[in-house]
Amino acid sequence: MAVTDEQVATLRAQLEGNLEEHRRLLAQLDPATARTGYAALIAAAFSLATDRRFAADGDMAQVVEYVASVRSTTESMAEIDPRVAERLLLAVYTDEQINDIDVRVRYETQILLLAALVADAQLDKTDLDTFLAQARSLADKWLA
Amino acid sequence: MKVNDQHVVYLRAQMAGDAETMEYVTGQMTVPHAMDGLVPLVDEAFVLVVRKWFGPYYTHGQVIRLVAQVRGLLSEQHTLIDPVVAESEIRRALGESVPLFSDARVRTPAQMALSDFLVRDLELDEAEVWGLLRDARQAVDRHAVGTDGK
Repeated sequence: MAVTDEQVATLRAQLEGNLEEHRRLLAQLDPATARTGYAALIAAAFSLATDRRFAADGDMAQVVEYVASVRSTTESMAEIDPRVAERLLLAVYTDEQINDIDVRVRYETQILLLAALVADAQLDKTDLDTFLAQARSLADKWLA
Repeated sequence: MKVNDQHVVYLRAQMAGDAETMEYVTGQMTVPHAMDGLVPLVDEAFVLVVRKWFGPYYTHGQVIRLVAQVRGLLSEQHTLIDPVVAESEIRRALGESVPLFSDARVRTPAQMALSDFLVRDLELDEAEVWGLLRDARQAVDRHAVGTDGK
């Protein structure tokens, strides 16, 4: 199984802030393949975006500050569990273990953080294309 | 739980980072549960200093950023403050109806670390800090009377 064009288009719509289109495409995804392919694409994109943002000098204080900045934007973002968010970010480039975090919570938190990370990176269309291609490639490796 | 002078001295020393006095007071209080009065004192002092720092208007974003700021300063001991507990405690102190974390072993360290920061950030002088602790002690005593039904 590999990531599909539809799954990439669904994530692209979300990262471009086109939430209506994102919801429409998400509803059309095959639920069975979405559980693996789309989830892997999200995780791969999250991993890449986190690595770019923090791997060079992302100490704990920077992660704490970043999660707080994301959570303080809206009341709904404030609902993100900061402990989970911080651990997910740290797990990308440290030996932080996240196996105890519920898969659904992990997935939902990654989506929210990914959107914030990509928005902060201010990618233009070409950069977003490249980023999604890299995420897809990484997800395909994981799924192979 | 009755607050005594030693509890107040201990909390003042803790806020000032005066480890020697903290150790001395701890050494004096050898009776079982002798330090129990510290928990409600920390609780009331925390409420007072949080309300003083935020004033009448605040947002949840400000609460989140404050907790992150304090945790960032304690990054070597970042587990000292559970952010969920800390945010909840601040919101409770500000009068919101938020569930209480029943475990004082988690609540109290968060309250102490946040209070230390807030006292410093407010730049309270010595008299103001003692005034805060006096008011906190009186609040504990008032609540104790209320609890006793007297």
